[in-house]
This record gives sequence, structure tokens and C-alpha cells, in this order.
Amino acid sequence: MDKILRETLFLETDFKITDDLFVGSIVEWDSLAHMNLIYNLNTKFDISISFNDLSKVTNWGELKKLVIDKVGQNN
Amino acid sequence: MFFSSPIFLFFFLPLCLILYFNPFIKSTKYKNIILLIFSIIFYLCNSRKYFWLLCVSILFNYFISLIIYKTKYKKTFLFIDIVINIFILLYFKILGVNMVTSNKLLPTIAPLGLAFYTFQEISYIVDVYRKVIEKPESIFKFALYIFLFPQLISGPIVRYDDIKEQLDKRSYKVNNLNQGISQFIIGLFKKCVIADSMASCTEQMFLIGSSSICYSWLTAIFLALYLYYDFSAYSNMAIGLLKIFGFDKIKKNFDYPYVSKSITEFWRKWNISLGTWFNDYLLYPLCNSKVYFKMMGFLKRIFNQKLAFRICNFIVLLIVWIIVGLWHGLGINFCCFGIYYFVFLIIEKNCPFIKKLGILSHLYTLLVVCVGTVIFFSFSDPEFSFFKALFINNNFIDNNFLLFLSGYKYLLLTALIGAFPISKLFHKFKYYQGFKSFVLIIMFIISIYFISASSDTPFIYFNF
Repeated sequence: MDKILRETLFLETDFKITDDLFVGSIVEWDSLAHMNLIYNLNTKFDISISFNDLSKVTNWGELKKLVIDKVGQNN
Repeated sequence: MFFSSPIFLFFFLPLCLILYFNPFIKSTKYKNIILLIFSIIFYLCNSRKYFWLLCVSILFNYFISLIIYKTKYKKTFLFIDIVINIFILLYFKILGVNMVTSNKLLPTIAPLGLAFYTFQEISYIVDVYRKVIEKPESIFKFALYIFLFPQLISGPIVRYDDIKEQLDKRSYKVNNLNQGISQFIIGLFKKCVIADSMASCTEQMFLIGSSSICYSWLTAIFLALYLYYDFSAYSNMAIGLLKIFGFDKIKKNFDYPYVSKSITEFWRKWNISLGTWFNDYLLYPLCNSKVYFKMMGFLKRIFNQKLAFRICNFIVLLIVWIIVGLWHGLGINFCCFGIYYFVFLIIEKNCPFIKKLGILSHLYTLLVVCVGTVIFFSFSDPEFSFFKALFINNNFIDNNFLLFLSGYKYLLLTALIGAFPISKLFHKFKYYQGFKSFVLIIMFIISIYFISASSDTPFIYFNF
């Protein structure tokens, strides 16, 4: 999933992705980039992240956990 | 009756506070009844003509929220509700275009607070649909949420989720009360001393017309400061009052927007509640719509992912910013206002170095905002003559510029200093609390002096 984040936000290869990153914490991750990331996560994992789910997420670590849970539910 | 009018400050508010904090009334339920009654009186005092519209709107939206909660056809009813709300908003905005106000600086008048309470109602309905609100509350609580007088007519746009718990139970801490009173006094000072003085000054400047480039830029600076002080003053007072009444979870609406290194940052700090509203209730649905997914799929087959995202983001941002502009009014200037900021946001997305130029980044932001403010105020200047005069004029400098600069230099200086977070410099000061209280008392006395010496000037955002 870190790869998807790096590709969506066009982060440099040497940029270290940590779980506490989120919207606004880096210049590249603004609200539009966030929407693009959700689109990529939804399409690549064939899941649907609702607004309600998203509103409870406060960092990248939690978002990854949410995606894993959603994929688990689908299977 | 505005927050800064004597009748509000010396009769309405004290009476409301006496009844609200009456030791015989301890239950939040009865306190809510007092708040609702006073909120209704407040609205009736300001806009008797459209009181019915607000009542009908509350009843209609509450009824739809119940249907959405119970029915299988949630999406259909959500769509109906949003269409009707937007139709009412557009109807009165279009009607307003044909009406004329006495103040040249103010746009035409729509029902008081219409744009704000419509957005709050839409957010409530969408939250019921999204299950952010698990179950619609009683009509009394919904009515209080919309009517709550500090935020009813000019925001900030409060989310139901933010005050849901406090509608049932509120705690009254001395610290919150202090913060509330401080915020209210700061807002009162900003409105009565700075914004109102700037209102009369900018009106004179606008009447004279664009006589030179320097004069036009001075007018632009005054207009930008006037807009900031007037609107942020209202937000300060509204949030302050809400804190006094025990609603302490309301987020700030302005965060020193003129201390920004980019337009992106500026809009994150200006009218924050409106920005987050557009983010959650327009940007998010647009980016999660079937149309967006189809468009992305199509573009990804033709271009690479980066370009596909760029094109989609461009279209989505354009839609959002045109609507942001039109939310303020249906004039061509407001549409241009939205598109103007959209262009700079796109430029900044593609040239991130703009944010990294230190003082130059700050100057760039202020320059763009000043020009944007002139576009915003061009509803009384359909030929955009003031906007054009910022760049093209026969005179570079003239007597009007020198006259207004020397006449209003102290006001300009005070306004400029106040737009920066100077209070943070004193936080480490040993006697900060005592010093702050002293300054607040002085600010209150000066505000009262200004109120007694001048007539009521309405808040500019009442018109939106």
C-alpha cells in the first residue's frame, strides 16, 4: 500500500513513508491528492471506502488498517 | 439588531445570559428552550419577512431526514432534498440580483443567513444518509441546531456531529467562559473599531473612483482588510458566544489567513468551516461519483496515471471553485472570483516552488488576495473599472492616494498589525494573563465608545 501512496502522491523514492502521515502533513498530500488516493485504493483492491469510514481515519496507518479490514470483508 | 448594536449588548444578551445561567434552571433541556426562544427573537428582530422560510426549511429538512432514515430509497430522497434546497437558494439569489441596496459596497439582500442555514441543513441530511448521524434527533434539537442565534445568520457552518453531544449535556467551565468572553470582545473590537471605520473609508474611496494606480492599490488593501475584519469579527463573536453558552467544540473559522505563503494555505485559513464543507459535501461526492470513475478509467487508457489525475483534478476543482464563487452571489464578478482563485490553485499545484520563496511567497499571496478582493467587490462595478485601474491608469500616483494614506494611516497600521498573530509573541511573558485581561478591558471600553459614536453597520456576510 505504501507503493500506491508513493505513486499517487508522486513522492520521491527516498521519501520515508510513516504511519503517522496524513492529509496536510506533507505538501503533496492535499484534499485532492487524498481523493485520488482513495480512488486508487478503491479500484486496486476492489473495495468501497465510505465517507463515514474515512471520517474516522486520522493517519496513514489507520487508513491501511481500514483497507485491510475491507479486503478481509470482501473475501 | 446585530452583535455590535447597543440593544444586543445591553439588553438582549444580558437578559439571555441571566435567564440561561439562572440558578433555578439547571437542566440542559430548559436551557435549550431558553436558547431557542432567544434565537427565534433574534431572527425575528433581524428578518421578520423571511422567518416563515426558515421555519418551513427546518420542517421540510427534518421531515426528509426521517424519511431518509427509514426508507429504502435513501438516494432518491437525498437528491430531492438537495435539489429543493439549492432551488430555494438560487431563487432568492436570482431575486436578490434585481433588488438594490442603499450601500454601494454591499451586494443585494437575500433572506438573512439563507446560504449558511441551507448548507447546515444539507450537511445534516447528507450525514443522516451517510450514517454519520446514526438516528435523526427530535425536531426540537434539530431546530435548535439551525436556529442557534450566534451562528444562524453568518456562520461559522457548524456540523451537527460537532454539537450533538452538547445539545444533551454541556459543562460550564470557567476557562471556557473566559475564552468565550475574550473571543467576543476581540470580535467586537475588530468590528466596531476597525471594520466599521474601514467600511466608511472604503465606501468613500469607491465613490471617488480609480484615479491612479497607487490609489487603486490602496483601495484594494483597504478592501481586503475590511473584508477580513468584518467577517472574522463576526466569527470571533459567534464562536465566543457559543463558548459562553457551553458549546466549546466549535472550531475556529479564521487562522490569520494573511500570514500565508500560498493561496492554497490562504484558503485553508480563511472561512475554514465553508472550506471544509465544500471538501466534504462537494469535493468528496464528486470524486466518488460514477462519472469521475468512468472519466478516470477512460483517461487512464489514453494517458498515464499522472496526467489522468491532473485532468480529473482540474475539472473537479473548476466545478468546486465556480460554485464557491456563486455561493457568494450570482453576479459575474463572483463567478470570476471563483475562477480567479482556481487558476492560482492550479498554478501552485504545478509550481510548488512558489511556496518556498520566503518573504516573496508572502508578498505573492497578499498581492493575489488584494486583486481577488477587488474582483469580489466588483458587484457594484460591472465594468471592472477598479480592477483594470490596478494595472492600467493614466496616473501612477495622485492626491487622492496621499490624502487617504495620510488620513487613515493609523487605521491602516492598526489593521495591518492586527492581521498578524502578534499576541503569540507575548505568550511567554510572565504577567501574560493579567496583561491580556487589562488589554481586553481597554478593547471593550474603546468598542463601546465607538458604538456610542456611530450608527449600526451590518456585517457584510449577512448578505450571503
